[in-house]
Amino acid sequence: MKEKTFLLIVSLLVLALAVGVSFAEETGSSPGDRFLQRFDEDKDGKVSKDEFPGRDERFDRVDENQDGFIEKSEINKRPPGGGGRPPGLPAREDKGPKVGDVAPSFKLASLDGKEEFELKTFKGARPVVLLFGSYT
Amino acid sequence: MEKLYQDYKDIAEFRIVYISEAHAIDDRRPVPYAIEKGIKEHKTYGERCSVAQTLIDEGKLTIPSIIDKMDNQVDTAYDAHPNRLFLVRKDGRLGVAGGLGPRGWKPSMEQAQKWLAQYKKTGIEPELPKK
Repeated sequence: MKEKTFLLIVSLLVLALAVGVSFAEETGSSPGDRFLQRFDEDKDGKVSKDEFPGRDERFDRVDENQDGFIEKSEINKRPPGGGGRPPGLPAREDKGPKVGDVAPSFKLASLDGKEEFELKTFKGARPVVLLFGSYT
Repeated sequence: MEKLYQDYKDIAEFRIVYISEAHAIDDRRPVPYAIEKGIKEHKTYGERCSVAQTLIDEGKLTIPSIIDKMDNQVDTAYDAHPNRLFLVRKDGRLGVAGGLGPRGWKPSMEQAQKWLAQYKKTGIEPELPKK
């Protein structure tokens, strides 16, 4: 009886493992697999410049061997992308000012055209919160 | 955003800096409401102002807004596109520099809120982190 229970547990474990492995294969476990799944429209196992969603300069950066195609291996070699980008695409480099840096000065008109806003107006008087964005 | 303004407008200046669209209909990945309303990337300063006005009206925003020029100079100086928050201290240095885009937005709002709450309570600006 004990032996039977043991066998049952072992076989269940093996089954679970097998299912897990095949599932991982199906969904494509590496970033390269997922990249191909998403962008390799003609299913030739590589992504051409036309299939690639990003800019040409970015394509050239990822296409390390410069053969005009991005292969799975070229994606898997890359550090994980950030910012919700497709796997394999590098995060954008942040060229903005950092905490402690002097805020770049500028002069912009208000929406109603009544104000010329400048940071220096409030220097020494009030902190300024700048909310950059657009409608979309 | 509007709440932060209402809570702290007595102790700090707030400006929306309106920059180029992130996902207009001529973008590769337009957002559904851009398609619905036919929001295109602005080609003129006037167009930019009119989309900014739409944002203000629909969001019922009372935060004053300033509009980046068509050379996107301020956007570039702050590397702000698509959206980003900065808090400038009284000495002209940045007390909060938010992360880029939607991912950076919420954490930076919380940072700014914390910063402003401390300043409002104590009258002293939070110190800059030591380098």
